[in-house]
Amino acid sequence: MSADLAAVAQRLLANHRFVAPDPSALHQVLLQCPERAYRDGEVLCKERSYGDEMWFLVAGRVKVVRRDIRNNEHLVAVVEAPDLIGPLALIDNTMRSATVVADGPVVTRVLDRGAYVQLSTAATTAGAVLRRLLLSSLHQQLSRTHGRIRTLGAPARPGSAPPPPAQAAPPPTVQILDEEEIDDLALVELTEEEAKEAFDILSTNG
Amino acid sequence: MNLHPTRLGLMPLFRGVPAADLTELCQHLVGRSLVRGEELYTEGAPARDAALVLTGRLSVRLGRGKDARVIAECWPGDLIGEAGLFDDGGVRNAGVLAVMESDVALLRREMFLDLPHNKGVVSIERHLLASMARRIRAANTKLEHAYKAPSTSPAAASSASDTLRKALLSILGTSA
Repeated sequence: MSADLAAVAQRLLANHRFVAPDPSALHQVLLQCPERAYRDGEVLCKERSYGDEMWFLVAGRVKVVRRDIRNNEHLVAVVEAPDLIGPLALIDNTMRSATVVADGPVVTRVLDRGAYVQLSTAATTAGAVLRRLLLSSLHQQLSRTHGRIRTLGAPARPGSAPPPPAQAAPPPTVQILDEEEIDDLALVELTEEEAKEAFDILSTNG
Repeated sequence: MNLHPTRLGLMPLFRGVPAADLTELCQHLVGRSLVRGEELYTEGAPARDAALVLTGRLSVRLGRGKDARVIAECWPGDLIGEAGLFDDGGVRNAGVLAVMESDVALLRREMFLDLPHNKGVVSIERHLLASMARRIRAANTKLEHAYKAPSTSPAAASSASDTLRKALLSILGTSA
């Protein structure tokens, strides 16, 4: 399985208006990252491990899996190329929050910590494209989570009209609740105080 | 309010940034002084920029008047309202108010596009990356606490509870 990296760069940037629209710099970054292929079922990263790499998923798709308190595995998302996998471990040096497994043959380009540090601190076009792609990606993740916590039943905001609907977001790469599931949520006991705290944290990006 | 590169250079955020880059950065920032009680951002209003706190203190709040709930405080060096940099047509999901006399520098998306090689902009972007990553982790932790393990009791194993678990898990798993 091969991937046209120029096309991958173009598609990666298509959903990120914060990044300059010229994908050539990102193409150059991808070219400099070593290619790594995974067979079906191979693990890219494990939950609760420390990571020194992130991946540009350039072909194929991966499953994102988490374990609950009883150690049962749950599929929480299926991510299709092109996308970014596992950048948080490089940004804040914390443990992986999920396991990522190849779902069929997968081709990635791997950015290791050394290359990340070099690029993310560089006042170059390539550095700017990487930082802004990551920023935009984190922002989308925050927005999605914010919107979904709101849907989960965070308390109504006092003294204000209902917020306007969120603007159109790029196609999500995680599963979204359907209407019936959202209705069901009102029937269960949600730990409201904690959902409220999470909502507050996510609201501080203004 | 005029911004001066020397003033920016005193902030830890811009430590090591060459004076020429700070001078260039100042030309793209808009300074704003706020008196105590003045609103910087209004909840629900269009979001077109972000703000770097230079002096003073601001509070981030949901709701208005006596029902307002303060959810965070911002100090010099903090960046507020970055959603305004990323979205076209987005709105503020919280209000921001000066709780004492404060100075801020407003950042617009165009500045980032115009100054890809400016080391002050690099510092701002790295600062943003770290603060957004922290926020995702913090929210995940809160949600993780809200998540309840499947119970063995038939009542708790209702389909509705399962749906909630699925929902929380799907949120928690997005930041590997």
